Amino acid sequence: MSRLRKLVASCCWRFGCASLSCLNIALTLLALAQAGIILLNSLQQVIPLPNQAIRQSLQQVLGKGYEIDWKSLAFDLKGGLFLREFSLRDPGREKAFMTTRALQVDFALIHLLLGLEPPIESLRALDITLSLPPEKTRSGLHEPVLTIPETALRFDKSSLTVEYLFLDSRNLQLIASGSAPLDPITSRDRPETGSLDLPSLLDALHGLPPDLTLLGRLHARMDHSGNLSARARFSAPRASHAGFIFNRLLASATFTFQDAVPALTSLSLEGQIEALGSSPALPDLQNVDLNLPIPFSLSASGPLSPSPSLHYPQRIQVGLSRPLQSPLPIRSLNLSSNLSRKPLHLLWNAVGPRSFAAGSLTRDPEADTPFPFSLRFRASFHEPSLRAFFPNLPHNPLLKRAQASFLSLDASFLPRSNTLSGLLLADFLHIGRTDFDHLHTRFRLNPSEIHLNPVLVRKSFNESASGSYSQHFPSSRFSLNAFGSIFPGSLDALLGQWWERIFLPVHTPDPLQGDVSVWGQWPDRDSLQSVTAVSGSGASYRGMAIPDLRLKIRSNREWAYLDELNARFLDGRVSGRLGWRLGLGKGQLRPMIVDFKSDGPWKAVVAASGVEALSRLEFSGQPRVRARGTLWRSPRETPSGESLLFPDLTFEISDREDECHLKSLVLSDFRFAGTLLGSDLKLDSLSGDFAGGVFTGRMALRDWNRPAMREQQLTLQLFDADYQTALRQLAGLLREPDRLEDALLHGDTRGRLDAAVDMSFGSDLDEAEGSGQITLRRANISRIHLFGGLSRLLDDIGLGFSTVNLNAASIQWRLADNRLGIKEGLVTGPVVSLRAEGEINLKSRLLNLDADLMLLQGLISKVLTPVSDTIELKVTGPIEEPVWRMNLTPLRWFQNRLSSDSRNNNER
Amino acid sequence: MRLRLTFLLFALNAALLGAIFYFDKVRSTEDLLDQSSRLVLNPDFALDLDRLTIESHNTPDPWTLEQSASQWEVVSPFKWKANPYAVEQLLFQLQRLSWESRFPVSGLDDSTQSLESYQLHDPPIRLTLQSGSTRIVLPLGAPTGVGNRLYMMSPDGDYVYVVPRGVLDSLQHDLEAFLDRRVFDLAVEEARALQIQDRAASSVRVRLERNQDRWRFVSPIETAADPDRVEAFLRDWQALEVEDFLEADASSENLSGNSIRLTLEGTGARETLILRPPDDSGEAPDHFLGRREAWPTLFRIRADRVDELRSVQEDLREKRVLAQTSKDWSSLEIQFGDLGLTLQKLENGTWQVLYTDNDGQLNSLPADETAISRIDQLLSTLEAQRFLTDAPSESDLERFGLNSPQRRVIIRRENNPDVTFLVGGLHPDESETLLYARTDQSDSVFLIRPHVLPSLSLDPYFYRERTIRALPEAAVVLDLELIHRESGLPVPFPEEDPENETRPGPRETLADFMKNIRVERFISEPFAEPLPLDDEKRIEWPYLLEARIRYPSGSSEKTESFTLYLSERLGGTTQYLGDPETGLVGTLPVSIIESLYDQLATFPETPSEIPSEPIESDLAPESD
Repeated sequence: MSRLRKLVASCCWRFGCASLSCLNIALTLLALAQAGIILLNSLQQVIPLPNQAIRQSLQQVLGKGYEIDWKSLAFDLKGGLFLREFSLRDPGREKAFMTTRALQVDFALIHLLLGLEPPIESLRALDITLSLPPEKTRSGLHEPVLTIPETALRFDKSSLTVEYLFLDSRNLQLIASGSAPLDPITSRDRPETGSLDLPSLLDALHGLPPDLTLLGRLHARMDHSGNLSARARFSAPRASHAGFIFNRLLASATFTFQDAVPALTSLSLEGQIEALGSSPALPDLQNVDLNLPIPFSLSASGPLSPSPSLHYPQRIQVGLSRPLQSPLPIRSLNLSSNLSRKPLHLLWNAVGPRSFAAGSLTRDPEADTPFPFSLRFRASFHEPSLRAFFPNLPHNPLLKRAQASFLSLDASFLPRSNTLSGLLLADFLHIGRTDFDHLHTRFRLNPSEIHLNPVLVRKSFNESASGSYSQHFPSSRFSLNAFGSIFPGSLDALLGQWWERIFLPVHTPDPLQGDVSVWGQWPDRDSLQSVTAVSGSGASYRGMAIPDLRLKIRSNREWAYLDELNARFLDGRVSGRLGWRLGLGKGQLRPMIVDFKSDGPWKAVVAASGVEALSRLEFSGQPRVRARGTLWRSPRETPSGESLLFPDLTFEISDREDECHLKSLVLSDFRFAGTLLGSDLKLDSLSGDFAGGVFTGRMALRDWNRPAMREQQLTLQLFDADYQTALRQLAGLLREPDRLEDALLHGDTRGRLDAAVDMSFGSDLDEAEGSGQITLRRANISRIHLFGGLSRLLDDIGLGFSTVNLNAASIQWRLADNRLGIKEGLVTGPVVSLRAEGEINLKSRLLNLDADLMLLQGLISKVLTPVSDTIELKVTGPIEEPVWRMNLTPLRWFQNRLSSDSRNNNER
Repeated sequence: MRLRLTFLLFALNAALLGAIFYFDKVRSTEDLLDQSSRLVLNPDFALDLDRLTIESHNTPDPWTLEQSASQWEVVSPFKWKANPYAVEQLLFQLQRLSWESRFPVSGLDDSTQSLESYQLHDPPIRLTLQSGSTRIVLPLGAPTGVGNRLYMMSPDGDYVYVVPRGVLDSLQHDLEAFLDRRVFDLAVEEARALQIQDRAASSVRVRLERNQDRWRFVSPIETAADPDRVEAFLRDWQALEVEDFLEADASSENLSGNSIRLTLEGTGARETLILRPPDDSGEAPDHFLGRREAWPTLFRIRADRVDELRSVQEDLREKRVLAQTSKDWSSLEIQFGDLGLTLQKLENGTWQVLYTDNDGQLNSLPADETAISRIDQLLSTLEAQRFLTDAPSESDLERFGLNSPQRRVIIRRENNPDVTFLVGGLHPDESETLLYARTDQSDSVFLIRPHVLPSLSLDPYFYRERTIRALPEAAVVLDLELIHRESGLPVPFPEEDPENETRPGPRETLADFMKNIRVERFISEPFAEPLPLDDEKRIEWPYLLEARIRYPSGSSEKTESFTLYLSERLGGTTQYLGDPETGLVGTLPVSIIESLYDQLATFPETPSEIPSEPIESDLAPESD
């Protein structure tokens, strides 16, 4: 037993020794091999390995679905493998989907031998090119799409660390880094085909602007659940998209990839907008210049908004700096939105120098318009100018200089109706020639029309109006309406010069109340029509006070028609209609149609008529006036088409109660009616009281409106006028009234005068022609120095009229060629009568009169006839100093008898 | 012995393995890759850069940028934030900088070249890069003769690289591009308070604080701020950029004294901008000197921006004094002395006007939706033109006419207390028309524009519903005639122009009008013929508007005629319409007046032209 035990022990010992020796030999060989490898490695650095072994090793790493090729390889002692021109391709395909200029892999040899993960420790590669097969490219060709110039990956037991990965695709350059646990990667089913699923990523890259050079860095981290979180930062010198050109872009973003859903958790972007492809569709704001480049910033943050393809932050904020130049010098424009809100709702605000705007923008999903957003905003501007905002407005003085010191808008835009509506408020608004303190209106604007209603304007505390304005753009029709205080100046530029001419002479202590409507097609003046009705108290027109004034005036292309004129005075009124023909050229504005009556102050009539000649006629009271007809007409053949003064009027003027002054004449109960046709004025029924008498007559004037050429024809009968009063007033018509008075009036000359005048004269009464008869009754002719020095002569011969009772005279006269012919002048009295004939040269002022003096009257006269017939007077010399010569002709009695008999015979 | 040998061999193998796996520094394959790489800078170094120094022939002083905890900063020659974009571009280009070709410096002599040939002996730009304690100097030489390239010395000095010149382009620009021109960093969303202190104006401190989304003034008075304006103000100032930076010598200037301080406060962050006029001359400067607290660098800011800070208290104040009440008002009383009326919302959602007539009887009228909408709009948009006082005395209120106001408006709300709004007297400034006003929500007295008064009319008919009659949609106007009553003849309408699509003809316009007869405004007098308006004025009705209407009613049709009375057009906007049936009288809308005008208005005939032949006159003096 013990022997057996010894034998077993001996065998064991021998076996152990042999095994140990074998082990020692193996260890020695191994040590030698290792030393040899170290030696060889030191000498050659790389060790050639069988391709098959390398292929198997790589397939263990990459999977068996790829065909692997390389140009050359080397291996180092650490398990490092270096391959040149390494490529991967799908089985059956000719071209590789991945090539790399150089690939270096550090294998984990033990893991590799034991089949543990990961089989490699690190990987670096240069110039990796990833390509897509033809069926996955847009070109249909095998297309390289992604380049990785250099990358370094590191693997440890449980994680992969991308130390850096430089990636280029088109103009994207990216430096990526990050880490990920290996479990999610290694547990994932590897694709059987070995093809990388890059199309969606590459499509996104393809969608990047072609001129975008995007430099970025990305750091990503994956957790054990396979969820990815990443932080990225990009910069780009330039990019263009949809016509926009950006430069100096800088973006930062964080995103995650959880449960196979990518999520952008935050984003910030800033840069400059260099150019806009197309301006916003604001046709009337064409001169709003963009202040390029426009710095901008964008940020997105807040809770994530879910979406099937990408979760994104709900809050987005965009800011633009100095986006616009004058006339909208916006310094800062900011937009924000909560993307979770559907439909899209955007809040915005804008700030400029003394300007502010804020509002919201909401997408209207049912609006089928180029701008499908509802806009709500309020804005305020200082010193805005209408033309600066809307340069394409029709050129019109009314709008040209329209501006305000402050403008405020509170408005909304509805895309379905394409309508902007709201409130507009302006301070110190200047329109046309009128300054308004304030304007406040509701407005509605769409591409076809604008409505302002109601418009409240205020010039001062007690001057205000409300109204409306509307305009239809396709037809250019507009309508401007206002009631309240009327501001004439604000409409003159719109309605034309006639408005100013009619209304500006109206002055009122308080604004006129009324309403006005102007409509037509802008800016065609010929289409304009208007209706204005005003009323007011205490007004004055051309200096004439009108206690109560009411006017209604209408206009169209041809007429300004005052169809209701009603001026009430304390006693009387002026009323009627006046029509002004328009469109006759500059300055051609005169009342053309007249239908006018008045029992108001004559001054008001004169002022209203505008006829200068009437101012020479003065009524102390308020005559009744009626005039109808036309005043101004166009000549048939005048190239200029100017209107000429061509009146065709009938008129009546009467004043029964008060005096009328016509030059030096004072008339009462004065009435006349007549016609005015062209330059011919006819007064057919002229009557009145003059100098205590009554006159009737008629008068005609040719060229009445041209004093130098005027011809006048007067037929007048005067009855029972006071001689002295009449003569004094008539003398006033002459250039030298004193001479007539000196000649005919002395002391207390009295008498009643009857006269019949039929004479014509020009502008100068001294050149008058005509004839007539003057009869003087109940006169104290002794006081009447009818013949000047004759009285003194008779006094000298003892027949002084101061003692002789002469009380009547009758003179027939004829005036021609400056000669006043006295056909038969008879001065009679109870005792003496004087018959005279001859002429007076009015030019040389010399007398040439023959007179017969008859003594006594009645029976005594007949007795004394022979004596009387023998007394003949001759008057010569100047009117002022007549020379009287008495001729005694005894035979004259017989001559007179003979001539008388022969005359009687002839008459028979 | 054998065992010892075994142990020895084990140890030897272990040592050899250790040498292979742990102590062998010869990484042959890595070297092969490194030699194949074209990157100028080792990525491990380049990706951790923390300091850059740029020395250029164009600048007297080197520019140094350092990375702080959160951002890159320029530390020399200015001390200021670095422009993130410029820094990012430079860093990226350095990190990705790769040579396209290279040649050894040692071989220059053989090719009869020297460093001078490439301006590398005294490079125009020298870039010093630092990462931790590792420092690398990159001399940038001359551009290449052809191609868009640049010569550069390799970091180890062994090679001359030919690299893309993008780096040079980044550095050849004005190096001030590396300065961030934005003053503030705090994001507006993070701002919790805003404070302006103007030491030149009694050091009044204006402070606003945000509570959730609502901003309020907390100093010098507590009152509401306009959130939109505050937001816009913050964003505007947050985007503020400096006009230019001052030379480093000026940076020592102290900006105390008559300074204005604008402070933005966030959670854990506070940024203050100190502004001061450049001198104490008192003249209005073009620019202000500015400095961010904690940064020594001085810069210039446009003076007009600074002026805005001085009016913040007025500008940012909530001026929409009744905006809150516009959301839920259900009744509105408008009073002036003994006059007054009430707009009241009924349970069915419609509105009515309640008023007391001259006989003292309470009456009601249906209210017009548009009129109510206008009142609502007035409430929501009514703005104080400016605030006068926040603590008026009793004599002030008397002087402002607020003790006997022109309008007292009591706004009753559904779930909130009533609000009373008073419109007082006229502000004495004659240059513009403004009215004193206040609410019972605060003591403040403010000025409002005068459109408020006519908008708060005391005439109940101002708010009255304006429809005389409205036909059903399906009703058809069969006949329509405008009749001149005196002659009994119809006024002819012009033929409709089918090609004129822009404007319907008068008949069509009137027919549409007859379907929904709305007047511009009713008058209080009932229809009469004639209708006296006062002692002198009365409305005559010279025209009739007769219409025959067909109402579809089941299988049969029903027709009805009605007649309206029309006055002449009495003014621009005045033409009356009377309905004897309802007794209502009102003014026509202007559009209808204009449509009628062409039919009713006549102008005088143009006088015939003057004949070319002179008119014979009978004015020759009569011969005797």
